[in-house]
Amino acid sequence: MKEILDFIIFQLLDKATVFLGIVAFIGLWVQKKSWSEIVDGVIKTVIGLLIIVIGAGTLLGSLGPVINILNSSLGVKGVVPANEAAFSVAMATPMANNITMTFLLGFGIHLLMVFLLPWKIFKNVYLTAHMMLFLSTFLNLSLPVVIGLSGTPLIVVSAFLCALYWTLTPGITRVIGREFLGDDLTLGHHQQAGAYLASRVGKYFGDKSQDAEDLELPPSLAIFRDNTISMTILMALIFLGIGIAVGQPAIAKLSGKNNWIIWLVLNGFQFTAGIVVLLSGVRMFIGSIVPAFKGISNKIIPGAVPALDSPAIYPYSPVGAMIGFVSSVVAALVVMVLLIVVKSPIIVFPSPIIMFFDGCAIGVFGNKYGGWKGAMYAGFISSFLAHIGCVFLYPLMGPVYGSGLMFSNIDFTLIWLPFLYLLKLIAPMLGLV
Amino acid sequence: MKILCLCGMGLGSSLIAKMNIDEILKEMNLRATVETCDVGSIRSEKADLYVTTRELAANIPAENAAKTVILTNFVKKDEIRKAMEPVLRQYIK
Repeated sequence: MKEILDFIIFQLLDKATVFLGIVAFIGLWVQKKSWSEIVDGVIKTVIGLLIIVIGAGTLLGSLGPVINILNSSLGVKGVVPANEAAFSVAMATPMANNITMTFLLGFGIHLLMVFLLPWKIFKNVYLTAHMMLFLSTFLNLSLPVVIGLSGTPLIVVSAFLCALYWTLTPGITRVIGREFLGDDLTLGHHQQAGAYLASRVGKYFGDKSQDAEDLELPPSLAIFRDNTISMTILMALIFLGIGIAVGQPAIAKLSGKNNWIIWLVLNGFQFTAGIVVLLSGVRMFIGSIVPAFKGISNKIIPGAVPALDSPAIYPYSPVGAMIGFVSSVVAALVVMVLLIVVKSPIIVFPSPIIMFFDGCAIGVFGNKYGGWKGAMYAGFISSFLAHIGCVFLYPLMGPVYGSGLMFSNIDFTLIWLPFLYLLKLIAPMLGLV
Repeated sequence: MKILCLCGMGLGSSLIAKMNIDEILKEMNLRATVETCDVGSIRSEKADLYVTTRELAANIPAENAAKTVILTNFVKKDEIRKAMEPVLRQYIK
């Protein structure tokens, strides 16, 4: 008997891929899906997860050596904040199972909280499974560093904190976005506190009547909406920047007979290729998980408003989003230069996620509350804070610290950074450590 | 018939659109495969019908423009139904 149990626990359930496959199976089976749909969902979940790990290998293979040389030769730690990448690194470690458990338990507690809370503004269901996995990962990495949690308590505490965040914050964007989003959707993309900041900044610095939508932006900017294109250009530049900072001789040790500049650019491309692979895995996996989640929540909380990822709100103010993106890029460069100038031990490179996903969402809210100037100031301030925040959050990332990768959204800085540092401060007083 | 929902990453709003279109197809008693995709991969993903939002319309290659439905919103099922119904009837006979 014990052998059978051990086999089930250590050979099957301990493998995140098998575990999530089983979860997908149960989710689809409970919804009375047909056999063909169940097979499709289970296989796509398992293969999707495996693709994520392959993507992680590719992007670490390109970024790792370059970041290591930067770290050792200049005595700093360089980091590119990029959710997907940091997540995939963690998923390739044995903690993958804890992350999955946190995610599932957290979603359960979240549904319960939404069900129990009487206020209408909290009747939202968080449906961005990828973002939920990122937050589960973030807490599973940081809580052991901050208060030394591990094992089951770590999973339970992380799941509870996730659920609290998923339940309360979409209420913020539901209220401040009601005027233009109606009660059709709200934001669930780690920018909800950021959106509140954007609405305040917009109101303070801008003028609502100067709507960004009246402006004409150069149509060529549209190509940057293509994630692959912006990421390719950005990563090539970051790799070149690092290469120039550490100098030709150091890079030549890595590049061998290849020209060092060409080698750096190609490595930047390879990083993007890793992200594209990774995303195709996430897409496959998310495509089977989210409908299951939506089915469950429809049954328990009919009429709940979906909390969605930020691109869902860009159509409400596409020009505002573009302005937010552009000013976020400027802020990202300012932070990088600033950190180099003040000789910070941690250098944060411009994050594609903060600049694009945060920048655009913040731009929409900035514009709605303060016109184009509101979008511009909000994008700048939010991106500035999100990048600076990484300096303080990166050391809390446990096994991911030092990989050169890190999570990236404004709410990590606005909500989780003060929370974690406060926890670190009061934990000894409460006897938690 | 294959319908492809496009958004920036192909994993957020396009998935919500896919679920809504699946339901609409079911209500209309029609059969079609609905998939999601990021806007950057549109050239390599062939479909009979593309669905996207106003904001990404400029990124659709010219040769696909004729078979693209542009929505303001991926969430409101009524609006999606209004925009898709005539097109779907025309495609699926």
